[in-house]
Amino acid sequence: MSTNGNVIKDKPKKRSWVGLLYISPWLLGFLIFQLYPFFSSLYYSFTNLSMFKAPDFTGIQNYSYMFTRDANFFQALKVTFVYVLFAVPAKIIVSLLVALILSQKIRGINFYRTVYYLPSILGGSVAVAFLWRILFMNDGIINKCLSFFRMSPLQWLGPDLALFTLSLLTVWQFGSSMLLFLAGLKQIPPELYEAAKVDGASSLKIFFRITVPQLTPIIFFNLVMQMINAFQEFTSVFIVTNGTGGPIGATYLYGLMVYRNGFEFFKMGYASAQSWVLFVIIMFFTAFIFKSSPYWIYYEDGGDINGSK
Amino acid sequence: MKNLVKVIIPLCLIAVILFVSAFATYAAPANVTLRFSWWGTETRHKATLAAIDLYMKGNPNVKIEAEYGGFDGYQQKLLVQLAGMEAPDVIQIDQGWLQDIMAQGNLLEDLNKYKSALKIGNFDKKFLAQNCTVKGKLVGLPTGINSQTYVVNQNLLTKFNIDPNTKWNWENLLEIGTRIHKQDSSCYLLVYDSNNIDLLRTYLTNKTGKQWINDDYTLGFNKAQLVEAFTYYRKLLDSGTLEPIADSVIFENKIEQDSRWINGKIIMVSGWASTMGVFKRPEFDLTVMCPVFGKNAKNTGISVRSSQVFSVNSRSAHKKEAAQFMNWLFTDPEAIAALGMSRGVPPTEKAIQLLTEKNMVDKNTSTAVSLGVKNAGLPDNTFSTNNELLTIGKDVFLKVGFGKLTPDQAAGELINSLKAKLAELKAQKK
Repeated sequence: MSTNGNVIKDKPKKRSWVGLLYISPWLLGFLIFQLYPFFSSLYYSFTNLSMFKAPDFTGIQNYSYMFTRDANFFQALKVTFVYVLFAVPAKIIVSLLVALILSQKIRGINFYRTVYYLPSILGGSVAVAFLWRILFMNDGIINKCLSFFRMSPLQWLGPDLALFTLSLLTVWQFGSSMLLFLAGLKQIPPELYEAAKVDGASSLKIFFRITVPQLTPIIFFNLVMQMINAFQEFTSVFIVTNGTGGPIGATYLYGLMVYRNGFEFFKMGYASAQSWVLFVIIMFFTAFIFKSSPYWIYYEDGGDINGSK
Repeated sequence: MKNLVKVIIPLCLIAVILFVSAFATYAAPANVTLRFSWWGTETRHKATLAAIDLYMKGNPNVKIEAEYGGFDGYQQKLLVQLAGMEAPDVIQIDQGWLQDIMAQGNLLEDLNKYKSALKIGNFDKKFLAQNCTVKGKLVGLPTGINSQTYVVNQNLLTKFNIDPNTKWNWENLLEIGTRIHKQDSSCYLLVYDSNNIDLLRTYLTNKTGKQWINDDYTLGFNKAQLVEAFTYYRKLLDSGTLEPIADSVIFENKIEQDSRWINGKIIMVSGWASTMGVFKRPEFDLTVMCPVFGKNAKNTGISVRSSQVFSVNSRSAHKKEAAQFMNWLFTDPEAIAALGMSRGVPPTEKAIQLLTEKNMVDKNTSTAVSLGVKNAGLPDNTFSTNNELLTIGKDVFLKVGFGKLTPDQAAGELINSLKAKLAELKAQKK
């Protein structure tokens, strides 16, 4: 028995080293391209690094400038919060609704599922952002449709609506959240629905009393992931507004500001400081959502978040 | 962390050197590979690649690697390359970036050092001093001479009965613009790239005879002049002389895609001689006119500058060969013919003569440049192309355009923001 025990004890050890070897490409990539830049940017945020010159240590100057004198910083912060507050809930609601429809037993449902996932594959690409611009131009297709229905055209990319239009591009890429909801919907025990029907509950009541509570773990996951992504949004605004965040700063998202400071105004140190502020903001909201989770998430097995319940 | 960088970078360099030298021993030792980067359109790519082929045929020991693409992102990529010491040997650069790049260190070679290989005498001395010299160093040679210009839809000019010899000034611009928009409310006389505050700057320079920002970190105008400029700008918009900002803003930096221009609803568009090819449409003929300036202007404010410049990377291992290649591009008749007008009107008398003889000169481009040169305003100064100051200007300019600020409010905001930024720039210099 004891010899056997030794063998069992040794084997996993050996195996774990082999495992490390297998994942070493990822591990090296992570260390060199993520962890190292992560900490070096923290260091740079306390310097006046300009991409070219050796950085001088300037203490908290970048941070104090950001909070006291940089008007663009507050504009970007405001725009980004509005964007996150609109885009994230909208995306979750849309993906949930589409998932509900696609969970029905209809003929050719797999085809529809694929089709509705397509925007997520295409959405991040430059071509689609470009297409978005053409769709929402003042004499673009959307306004042409509106005028067909005798509605007056809107300035979709004007200062008042541009951020909304941009959010739609994100909302439209609901595919991955939708897939998660689809999987979640399948996990809901059918007897719950049967019982509700027997009791004569309306379908709206069934949705809010059974479907939504049962899906809360998925909603939680989607909320966190989408929020993190939304705070970092860059590509769409860069392409749709030609990298200006315009008109007049209406879509000057945080990510774009960091990019411009670093690569257009040469202020790498300052851009690093701004990245860290964004990181803190994201961590704060993520922690907040995690802390709040015991109050609104239902786990079939009781859940183990925070060790409660 | 710093130490880690210090270790990793030399290690990488050593690896690269070993790799390169291993290669070099196989090939003949005199072989040189030059990297050459530029941006442009298809025409320019074809012409430049043809020239490179000619050079490599004549100089079999030199291999030239072309790195080319569109304009979008070129500047950012170049900056990253320069910072990473990975930039090409010969680089096409926008004249406006030279100040910013050289402010970061001596990243571009002083071409005066290569007088034996590079015949600088062919170029106009004053032009080089005004446009390509930074801190006393000649950091680039102009690929062509460029001027602000109005690209004009000739068919509309005839249709609306506008004299093609009109000299635009602030009065007749507004007058004719108002008339045209009244005559046909879907038509506009002029569109400026809305991202482009040149209109404002020209107006101010006309009044003051100075650049909008002086070299000593002060403003070149006062509040009254600025209010006047913004008020006039509002009039242009309200009368339908300028295309509404809400429409033109969507085509920031890409004004040639403006659907009104494409559909023949705009008569003139403000552009540059070297890139006016993008405005060509099969549906109508183009001509050019001199941009607007005031009747009694202290200075016309019309910008005449290099189309772009070719520079040599100061970290290049083959600076001399790079200078020789550049010299060939500028002086060899074969090269001049191959490049043609792909970078606007060539920068030397000799090249213009040669292209004229071969009947290769594009009439509109050369007219645009000669009109510009005839009415040339102040040369660019240190702050003409400062990205941060321009961004501030563009923002306020747009706010007036969208009616978010009155001319008076806008003048106040612009002056305050510019002053704050200038104080910051001044502090950084120290």
